[in-house]
Amino acid sequence: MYKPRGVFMRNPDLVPAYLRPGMWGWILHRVTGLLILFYLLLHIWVIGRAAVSPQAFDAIMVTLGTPFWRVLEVGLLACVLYHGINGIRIILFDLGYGIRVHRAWWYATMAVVVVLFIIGAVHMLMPLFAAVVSPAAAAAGPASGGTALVAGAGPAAAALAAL
Amino acid sequence: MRTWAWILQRASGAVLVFALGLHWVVQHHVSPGAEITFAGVHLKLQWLLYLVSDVLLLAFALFHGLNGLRTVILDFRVSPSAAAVLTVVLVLVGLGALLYGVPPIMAFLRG
Repeated sequence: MYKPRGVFMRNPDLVPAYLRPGMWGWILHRVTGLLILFYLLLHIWVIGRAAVSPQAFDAIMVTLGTPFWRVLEVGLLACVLYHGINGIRIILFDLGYGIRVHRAWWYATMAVVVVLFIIGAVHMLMPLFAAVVSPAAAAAGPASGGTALVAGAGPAAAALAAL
Repeated sequence: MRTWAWILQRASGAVLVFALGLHWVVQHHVSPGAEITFAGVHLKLQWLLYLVSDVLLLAFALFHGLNGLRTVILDFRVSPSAAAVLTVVLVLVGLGALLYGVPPIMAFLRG
């Protein structure tokens, strides 16, 4: 048991006696939401500063491609996946769907988030592992592993250029 | 106001699932995408749907994020006057970030 302190005393709904899955879902939704808002404001600021010239932008992108920022970006992926997929669950509840099976739905949400996260994280971190295993190969081809996930990347770019 | 804050939070959230999904896929998985470059972003923004979705993403994400922050803070039962001040501050932050965020998109668009 824990005791509510400080501002948490103001609203008893914020401090239930027991933390059940639904409450964890709610807490995670809030925490990830606040983290994403922090990232959003930082993102707008950084891109705004970087977009002054192509050289400045490309230089900042090289910095953001280093392992430290890549790993942070994987954390962002986790937050966004959870917040987005749990958000769909919340909207469906508000529309009246699935409330009776909300706990099963919470586990299903977590399962989908974990699966998508693993796929995304492996894909995002692959270039880093490639650089460790074979530095020469990674240096020779900056695209190594980067676009492998989307087989249609080439045609898509051609279609994009045509538009 | 509370009802609208709630409905618009759901509506903007639903839009964000698609707009952010597109943003992520286009930025990271559409060639030239292994390394994000100024020239690459310029090329991608020539696609009208992506340009529109990126501007909408900026506006909707700011609304959704700041309205969400407002919900979190109001859950601590702040006084009505403090809530009013909070709303004004968040609207100003949102408008400021929007005005700061649109010119870079236009800079990428021009190339």
